[in-house]
Amino acid sequence: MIEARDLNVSIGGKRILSHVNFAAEPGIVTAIVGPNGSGKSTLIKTISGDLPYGGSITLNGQELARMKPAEAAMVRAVLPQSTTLSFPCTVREVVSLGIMRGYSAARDNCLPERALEKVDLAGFAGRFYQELSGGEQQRVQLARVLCQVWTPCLGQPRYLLLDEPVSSLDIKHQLIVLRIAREFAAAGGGVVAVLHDLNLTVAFAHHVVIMHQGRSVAGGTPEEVMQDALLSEVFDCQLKVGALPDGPTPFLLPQTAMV
Amino acid sequence: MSQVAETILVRRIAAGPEGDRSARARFVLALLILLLLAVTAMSIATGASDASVIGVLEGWLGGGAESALSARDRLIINEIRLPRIALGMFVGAALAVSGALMQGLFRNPLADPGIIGVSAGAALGAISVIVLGHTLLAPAVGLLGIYALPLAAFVGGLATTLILYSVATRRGQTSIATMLLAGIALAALAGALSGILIYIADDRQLRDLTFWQLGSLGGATWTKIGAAAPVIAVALAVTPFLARGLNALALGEPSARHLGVAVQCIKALAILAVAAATGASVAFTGGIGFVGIVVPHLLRLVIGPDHRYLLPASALLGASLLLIADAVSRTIVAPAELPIGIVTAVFGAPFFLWVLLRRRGILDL
Repeated sequence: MIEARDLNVSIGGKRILSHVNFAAEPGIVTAIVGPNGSGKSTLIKTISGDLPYGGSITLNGQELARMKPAEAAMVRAVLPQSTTLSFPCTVREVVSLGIMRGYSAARDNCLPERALEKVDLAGFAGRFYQELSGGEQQRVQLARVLCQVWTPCLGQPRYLLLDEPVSSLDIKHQLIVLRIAREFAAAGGGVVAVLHDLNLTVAFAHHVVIMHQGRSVAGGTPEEVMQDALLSEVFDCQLKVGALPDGPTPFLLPQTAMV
Repeated sequence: MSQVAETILVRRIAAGPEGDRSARARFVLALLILLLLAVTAMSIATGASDASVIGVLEGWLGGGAESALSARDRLIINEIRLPRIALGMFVGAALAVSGALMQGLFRNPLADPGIIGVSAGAALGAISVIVLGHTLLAPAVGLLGIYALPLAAFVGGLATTLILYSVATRRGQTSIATMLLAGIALAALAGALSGILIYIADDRQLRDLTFWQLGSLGGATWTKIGAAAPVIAVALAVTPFLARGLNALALGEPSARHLGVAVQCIKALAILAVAAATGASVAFTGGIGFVGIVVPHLLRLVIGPDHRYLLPASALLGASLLLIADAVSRTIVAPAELPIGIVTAVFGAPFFLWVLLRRRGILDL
């Protein structure tokens, strides 16, 4: 389990996160949602170990600040929002960086190809990363991250930390990527994802944490947090949650929203 | 034409999976070893004098009486050509590997020890000794003898790097952008201080300075190599341990850390290796440009940016190219000698521009 207690983070003297408590269980997909500037990305960056923090963060019971980079890399892999490369690399070379330390259980030579196939980029191994579109690059990075924690559970649960994994993808690949997250969780790993699309969040997350002004203001199942009053206040506009006639799945139509 | 040749090369040699250039890189490494051997043999055999390698070899193998002529040849080869070749190899490898390390560290294919001020700092150290050696620094120079110049350059390079590192590092985090900008400022400052020294230099010192700045492998002796080689060898020996970390750094520092790389440690080691290798090179050979930028760049086009292959390949190609440049410099105006820095710049700069133009599409990141 990833657990953050009383998390305080300041950047350049400005408090970005205050007194945030957060937990991500293995076996489920935890989504972090909230308006722009609410601290979602800061939260996932802090959990990834990128920012100095007050409070405590534990990875499977170990304090993150006291873990060596190599120890943390055994337990979790991080997908950044976007990645630019300094040198022309082939797609295979980028994906192979994920297995550079041999942390993956599977050390077979085909792992990059299998990871690429998973993210619907079969046959892209020989292409240059710089020649791909933004969405394709994002999926190459996901393949790299998957290689790092190819086995979701290796003695202990491992985690995927995804910062807006679907923001530059078309709808088919949004579904593919979020299905990968579900499969990872189903196999015993944990997934934390910053998401913007509330409908995708409802469809794929087991647990939703809502961030607002640097605080975690709500947490629960998608059904529990998809409430008119809560969402309207957090996103600062009139939102009306709908429900499909054949089930409890809530949804949000932008057409019914009022600013 | 060359692209066709390259495609054939890829098909033939890259037997590995698609997009995996490591088989090709190993093949290129083997070719580079052969190239270095060939260039070394050529360098031993050619020079301003007509000393005969065959004659010397016969003298060695025969073991018996040696003619006066082959004794002279042996002296030329053992005491002039061989030390010069050894110095060329070490310096060429040091310059090329320093360039590759800096480019990997700064995530910028155009970075070079020249850019972050290491070379300028080393030059300032050397110029101080040349200009002030008989006045202000006379006691130190008297004590150190011929080691004064190289040591001063080494100290200058290292001091610049350490100042740079402390300016750019806060709470264990090195900002590459700050370091680049601070490096440009420090290079300008070192250049200005060197300018003051040049301004007060007398005519004889000016001539020394000019030739030192142009760069030369001339005057190489086994004593000098005894001082330069260990420093450069240690710096080169560290690089295999940096390769994987530098590969991950191509993704940016946070991603490299997420992959388990001890980023601060990699950066510190790379900086020290560059300071040592560049300092020692500048000290013994002066300003030899373009090796550090052209060699890694060329290799990256052929074998890709994997530092596990790029660093050793840079060392091999850097050594070979410097020996070729030196052969040109000492034969083109024989029996006089053209400073090697002129040769590397005259061939290196246009070649670099040509490479940039040809591969512009891939270089625009």
